Amino acid sequence: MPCAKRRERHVIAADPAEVRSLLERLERHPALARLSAEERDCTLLVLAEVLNNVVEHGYGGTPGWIGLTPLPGRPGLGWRIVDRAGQGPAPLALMRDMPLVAAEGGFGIPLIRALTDRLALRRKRGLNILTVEVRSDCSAV
Amino acid sequence: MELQVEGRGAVTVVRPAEARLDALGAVAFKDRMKAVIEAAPGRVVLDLSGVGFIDSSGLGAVVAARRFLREGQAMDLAGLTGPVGRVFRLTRMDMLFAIHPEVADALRETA
Repeated sequence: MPCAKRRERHVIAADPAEVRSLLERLERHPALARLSAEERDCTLLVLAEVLNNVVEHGYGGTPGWIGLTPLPGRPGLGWRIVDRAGQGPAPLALMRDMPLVAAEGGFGIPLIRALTDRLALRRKRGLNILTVEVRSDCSAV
Repeated sequence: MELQVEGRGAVTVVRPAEARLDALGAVAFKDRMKAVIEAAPGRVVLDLSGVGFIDSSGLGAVVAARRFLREGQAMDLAGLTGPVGRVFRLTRMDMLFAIHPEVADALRETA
């Protein structure tokens, strides 16, 4: 009987230290190792912004978890992020533009938008499910 | 977030000791930059050549550090690595700072 291939999934506590630790592990992820240095940098930045956004704005300091799964169709560039935060980022928040003045914040979502060519958020059975695909030409951005 | 501080004449050169300037270290970075800028006699050069990763929180902390500058005091950046330079360019925050390829270039400008 053939073995079913186990689906890779990373689950962390919603905490900035856990986010950093996961990103450091992902630097050595085989799928990311096959990307160009620019693609890898862009991917790690997008994942940092998405995961920290869930920590700061989704859970807002309350305990929770975040799941991260690679998408098989875009190795290294495509990821699904799942969480159970009560207040996931509103879809319209994903449309925010880059701040125009010397802002000290508000860069996260515009950075995600600039570096991805697919960004889809849905809520299902209490879960926020965000799919991101990093632009393969992100070095040209 | 530890900062290495070196006085080079009238210029104070600051180097983050960690390779990541991210959401975890941003608040501590900003607090320590406040102390460094307040103690600096003049221009401050933030040497980011050892920082390989910056996220929006780290960027926000660098921008926020400008608030602690006295009138006539400047904060320049030097040694931006590829990933760090990309974040500054994408957010247009590269327009806010004088950016030098290396610390030596920033010091030459003073001479």
